[in-house]
Amino acid sequence: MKAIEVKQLTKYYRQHFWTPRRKVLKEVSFEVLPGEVFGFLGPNGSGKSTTIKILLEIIFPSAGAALVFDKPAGSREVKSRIGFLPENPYFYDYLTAREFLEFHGSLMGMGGRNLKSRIFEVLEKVGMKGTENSRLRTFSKGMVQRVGLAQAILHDPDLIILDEPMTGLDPLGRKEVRDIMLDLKANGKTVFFSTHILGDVEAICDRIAILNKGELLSCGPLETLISAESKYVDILWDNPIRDVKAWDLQDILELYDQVETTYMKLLRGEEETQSDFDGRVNKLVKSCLDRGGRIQSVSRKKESLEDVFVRQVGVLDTRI
Amino acid sequence: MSRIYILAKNTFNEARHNKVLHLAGGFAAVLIVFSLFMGEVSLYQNIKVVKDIGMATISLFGVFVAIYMGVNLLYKELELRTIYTIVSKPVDRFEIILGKYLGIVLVLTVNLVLMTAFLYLTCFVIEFRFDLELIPALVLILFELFIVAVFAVFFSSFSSPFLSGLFTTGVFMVGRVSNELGLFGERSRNELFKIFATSVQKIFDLEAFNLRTEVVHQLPVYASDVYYPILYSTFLVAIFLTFSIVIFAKRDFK
Repeated sequence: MKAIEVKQLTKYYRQHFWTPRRKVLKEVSFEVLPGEVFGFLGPNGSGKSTTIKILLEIIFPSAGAALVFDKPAGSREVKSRIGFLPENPYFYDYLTAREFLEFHGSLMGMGGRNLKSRIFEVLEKVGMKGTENSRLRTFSKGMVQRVGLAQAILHDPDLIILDEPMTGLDPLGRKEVRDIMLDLKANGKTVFFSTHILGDVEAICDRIAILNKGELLSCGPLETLISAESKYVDILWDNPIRDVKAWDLQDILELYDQVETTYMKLLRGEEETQSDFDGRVNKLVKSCLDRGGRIQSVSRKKESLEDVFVRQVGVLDTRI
Repeated sequence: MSRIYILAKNTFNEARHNKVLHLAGGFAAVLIVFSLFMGEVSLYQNIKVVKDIGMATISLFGVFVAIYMGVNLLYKELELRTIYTIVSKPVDRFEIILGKYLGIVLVLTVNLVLMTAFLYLTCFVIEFRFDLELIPALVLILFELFIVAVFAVFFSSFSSPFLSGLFTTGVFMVGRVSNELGLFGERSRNELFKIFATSVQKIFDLEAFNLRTEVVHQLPVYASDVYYPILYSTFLVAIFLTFSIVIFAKRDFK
């Protein structure tokens, strides 16, 4: 069984009835497995929220299919197993946090003592203990985000869909939300979330999908998307001979490398193999030591998710 | 049913916190009190003027509430995206429409009861008794408001609040002059206009809900004068709620 299965999902939008249809989702297909944290990445307008809305039947697909727990997305049975936090949520601000959660809990069929105790439990979980009787209009953006998250996990759903859950949160709040996601995963829940914040994705996601202009660019585990090979090497040393230019390094350096008095940055060439690049680094270190230098550090820098993201999204942009 | 009730209760709560409605309610109450002074300047017609102005105020205030709530509630849910969290729950779209509509019905009923109590208190100041003969007229005002509200909900299921407000006001005004329109049609030589005018008169016959003249001037009111408009209102509400549900069920919430 898959938590989410999206097959050839396509969506057309029309701004006005007289304007032509615009394809905002282009035959997108991917799967989310039960129990994993899945990051859905993409720049603004890439189709992330559109996909999420289709999964919740907020909008309908123009073509393709969206399945949740092997059943058509939007059915009552499926919805009762989903918790959802929309992007930049706005809730009825005249309600108190408790009333707000009571409203959403009762829509899920919850009630009585079970609902009351669960409200206190989830508010504590999202760091909002003691705010039960405060009106939402008195909350900051981050607090609204947290109470929205409480609403999403109130009924203990199997799948939690979060649209930009880190928006409006300070670094501490972001860490807390990350911890909640990991806690949900530890309890066997599936977390599917969209975000711009790549650091969060690297920290908690099992798998990711990158979307741009309605097109799925890649999907898979982080380690298969991010290259394990070095991208560049930073070398720091104490240099007794200050004039680096006097060194004969022509056979080691390439045009794009950076050389300072006590710092060098060697970039791996686009066509250069990892072993050739390692050979160059070794030569430079040896050359440095031969001239009486003392190496402080040699650090290999691998490709980050941000590099992958920029590379993939950038490639598509130039192609278009 | 319980989900419809929860949504209706939420709609009612929302109205309870709406400052525009508070302000309009205050204004309507002032108008009823003002009718006391209008009554003073009329010759021996004091109580009739108060009752007439009072019921007209209740009707107009109710129409305002029905249109304001009907066109804004769905729009606000969509604009502020509060509907996203509702739709993501195991709630069918028809339950949202029914919940919203029943919430408006509840608001209109409570409003009418409060305004009626206020009107009765005002009348009591003059005649030291409660005139129960006003009740049929007030009941029909309420059922007329249910029709106005269903049109507001219907139009707002596919258009903006401005257009929905405009269309609903148009329907209300046409409904209020339906008798005149029917007469105009009968005298017209244009067959097409004649058909149009008589059809409009039959479909949007809001004049049937106006018993104010009868109750104020103590003219006879027959049971059919009350039952027919109530049945007609129920029928129209059912039809247009069904249309709203059908449109809403297919709509993308962008």
